[in-house]
Amino acid sequence: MRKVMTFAVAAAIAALLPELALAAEEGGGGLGMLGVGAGLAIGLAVLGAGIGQGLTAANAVQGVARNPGAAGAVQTPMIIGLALIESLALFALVIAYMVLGKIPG
Amino acid sequence: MVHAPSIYDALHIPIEIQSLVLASLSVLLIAAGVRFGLARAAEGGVIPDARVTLRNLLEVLLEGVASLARGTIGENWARYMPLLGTLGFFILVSNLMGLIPGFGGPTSFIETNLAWALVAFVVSEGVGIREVGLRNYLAHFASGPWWIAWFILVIEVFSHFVRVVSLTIRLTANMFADHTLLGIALAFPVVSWFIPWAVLGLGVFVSLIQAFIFTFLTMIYIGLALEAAHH
Repeated sequence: MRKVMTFAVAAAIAALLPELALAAEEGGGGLGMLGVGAGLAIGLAVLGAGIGQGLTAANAVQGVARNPGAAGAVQTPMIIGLALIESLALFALVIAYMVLGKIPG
Repeated sequence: MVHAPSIYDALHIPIEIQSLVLASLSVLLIAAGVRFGLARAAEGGVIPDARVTLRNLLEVLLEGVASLARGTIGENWARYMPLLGTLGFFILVSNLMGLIPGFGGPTSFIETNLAWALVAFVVSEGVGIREVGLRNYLAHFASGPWWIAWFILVIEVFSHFVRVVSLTIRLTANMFADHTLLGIALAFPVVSWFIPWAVLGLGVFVSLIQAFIFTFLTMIYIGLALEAAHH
């Protein structure tokens, strides 16, 4: 239940942040929005990746705690899982760079 | 992009090409060193050397790759070892080369990584197609009733092509982010005495892992293509 609540709060904040940015940037114009967009892209992506990697690491550590002899067998899939989740955040970083590149000067 | 002074500025060839040539030459020299170490080895190379030598290091690396290949690919794993060993070692050397401040690494540029990802894609698809032919290979994607099978076929073909993009961007973005972070950490006067050590450690760690992930994913794609072909 607590996990669901935490996730719901995080999702609500993530959904309301663009509203906040819109309200603040009324006079900013297109280029300001590009900067906000890039920041939001990488921020939200790292939020998701952080949660995913946290779950992965937590379950891996729990598995090792239950069965210390399985540490070697747990470690390799954990590293693979962490790297694949990381790559999703990096896809968003690429998009953020592309958006930042559109800002002149 | 941060353009630090590098050893490549003397010749006016683009840094992408120069760093790739340098990485290729390094891999070639290390391979030659291992070959001559093997020629000099006791008992014709069956027994490992007594000390830490280049040959022992490479044997440990390749043994790791071989055991993974045996697990994912199955019986014919030895046929793909040249590709997997070369990919893994080449990417490892290129990643580590990029961490040294004066050199650039070929893996920071999207062109080299795209080339490697295309090689992995062509090999994994070609293996499946060569086993059972193009029609049967495509037919295995289509499962279930005919009105779902078309949909699944389109999605599967698309996801196979997206593998190239994901392999490329994963490697490029990881290396580019690490190099950029190292450049930023070295830019400020006082913190640059302490922080770059941690960033360099993270960079080495990520280099190893990304080389491993690229090789492992290639193995998995080959294994998937083979088992889909054999059903």
